[in-house]
Amino acid sequence: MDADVLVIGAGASGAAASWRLSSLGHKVVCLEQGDFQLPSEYPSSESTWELRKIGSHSPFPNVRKGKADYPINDSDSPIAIANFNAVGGSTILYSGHFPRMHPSDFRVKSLDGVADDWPISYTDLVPYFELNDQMMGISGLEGDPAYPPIPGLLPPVPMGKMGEVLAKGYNKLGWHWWPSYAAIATRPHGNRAPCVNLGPCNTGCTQSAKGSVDVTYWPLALAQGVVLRTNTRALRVVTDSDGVAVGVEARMQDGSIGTLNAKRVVIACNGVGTPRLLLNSVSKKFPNGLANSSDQVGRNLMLHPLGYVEGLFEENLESHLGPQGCCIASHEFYETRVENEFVRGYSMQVLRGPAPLETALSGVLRREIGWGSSHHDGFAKRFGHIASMATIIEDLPEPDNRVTLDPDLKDSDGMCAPRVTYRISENSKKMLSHAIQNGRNLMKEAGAIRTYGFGPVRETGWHLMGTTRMGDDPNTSVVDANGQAHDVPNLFIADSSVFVTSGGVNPTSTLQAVALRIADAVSESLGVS
Amino acid sequence: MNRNLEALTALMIPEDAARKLPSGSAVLQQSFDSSSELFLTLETAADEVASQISNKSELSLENMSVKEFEDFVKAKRSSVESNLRIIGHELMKLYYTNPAVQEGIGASSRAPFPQGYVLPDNDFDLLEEVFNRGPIYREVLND
Repeated sequence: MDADVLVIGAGASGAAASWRLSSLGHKVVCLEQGDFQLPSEYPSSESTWELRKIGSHSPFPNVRKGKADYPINDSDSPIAIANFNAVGGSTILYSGHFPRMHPSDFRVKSLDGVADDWPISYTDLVPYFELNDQMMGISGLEGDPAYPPIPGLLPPVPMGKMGEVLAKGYNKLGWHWWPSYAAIATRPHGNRAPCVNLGPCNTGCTQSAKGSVDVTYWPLALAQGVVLRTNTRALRVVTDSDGVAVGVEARMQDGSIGTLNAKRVVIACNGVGTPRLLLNSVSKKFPNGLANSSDQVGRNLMLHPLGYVEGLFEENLESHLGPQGCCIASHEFYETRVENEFVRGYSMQVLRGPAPLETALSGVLRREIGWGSSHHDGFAKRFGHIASMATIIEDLPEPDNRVTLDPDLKDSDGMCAPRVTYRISENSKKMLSHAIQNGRNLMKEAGAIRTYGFGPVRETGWHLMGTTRMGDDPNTSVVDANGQAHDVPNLFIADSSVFVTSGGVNPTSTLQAVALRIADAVSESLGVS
Repeated sequence: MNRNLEALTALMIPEDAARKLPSGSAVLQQSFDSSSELFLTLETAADEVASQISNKSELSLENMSVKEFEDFVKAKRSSVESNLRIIGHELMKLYYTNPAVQEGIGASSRAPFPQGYVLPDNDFDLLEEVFNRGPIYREVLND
């Protein structure tokens, strides 16, 4: 036996699960198709970082085409799929915005009559949220009326002039706002330096102030003996004649194909990668893909359609300074309101203003920056003067929004690529329109002289959820409340593909709490509580 | 870099001594690679603009002032728009990722050492009315 537990994927959830299982004494081997990243090599403190953001450090694998990437056919989706295949996964490039889902997100069917209830609750996850907050180093402020109490936070990231101006706008409207929950160290945390408010978090944090899991969980997991095999791509989960998961066939670092055996297999490959692996793991016993007797593997894909709002201010707000995706956020419209034409709701995540190149390109496109003597003045009136916001829409699970296998497109190992089919529902469209209008109202109330809003934005497919959903009924779900596949003993799934609903916030906090809980369940199945 | 591209990019983004900002042509010159297909495309586009200017006016690209250039673009926008878009897009990518330009606009990619960029302290008094309105999340009973 190569391991007690094989974990596939070294991203947000794989890291948390590997650490937790190793701290409970299990022998863990983690397979990751990408490699370690060197923070000193991130583009973020180079003058050309904005160019690298649309090239080597793009969040879109179809743009990046890196050695560890696999192609994704997302031509049938209005939202392009993002990921980052490396130790750390998508946390290498994420903004670190780290709110939890709300208690109501776990009871959408009971409360609002749509979607389904999770087989677990917010209360079940509280100990894991708190553990994860400590491990990741989460900053924020206690007392937020949008949540039950959340203790143990580092001081919040600075709002800056821009955040303060928008906060006053929210106050004029009588709307909720609160300093962002952020996986950003605002003071020294463990071996991590505090944030220096540089801005380009989305091309990697050279300070290691941003809580990507390569600097949070992985150093500890490795010190506890986890074996992390990089540049190793899982090709299929192997089962025995009884249909029990016994290991993984993988393309190893040296190019050879081999099988690693374990008592338990935990998949943590994100909401597109996980169904892809299961659908590729066909056998006589599982002709429809592994763990798929319910025909739910790949279905119910949720992506959080996103609306983008901008406000241009007369005053220089120095809006480009500070962590790019973390400032303040509003949950005023998070919960269902009877007066709305839609059910469920959205959050409003204030972003820092655009960086220099983005400011110039959009300014010229909109003819607000001209050529000639007016160019520098035009630029100066925009740079630092723009506040922006993302509105994250809670999309409901729809069975035809799904991940399947592309019959023609393959990765460098010959494995079928995923194909994504996604449609924005009428409920989501109405919500998006409402959110964008409210975002513009907020900007105007805060004093913006001009506002823009549009959505859905295509380049926003970072949140990948729902494709191997949790549930008590094996006919309508893939895994149970402990993340164990209904069909396949010894197989667990520990990433956001187990989500039943998407909530209206960034999923990382919740998916890591779920992963820690599932790791405990895996450990219990091995006789260790 | 040919004279037309040099002249045009200096007109599109002129030097600004007060802001310590170089001209577009000065920045382009630093990166210019005569064997690059991209730069050949830009030179071709600049040649077309030069020819459009001399066809539609008595001016020449090399000798026109910034004001004359602006007036020409205003009056005859459609004749030069697509070429200016091609050149402008690439010019801005080089210009706004140039360290000297970033220094000039106050956006250096190297934060001041060791304290970084310092933002004002948060004014938590602004949160008082949010806090006083009480909880806004939906309670889920029996969970």
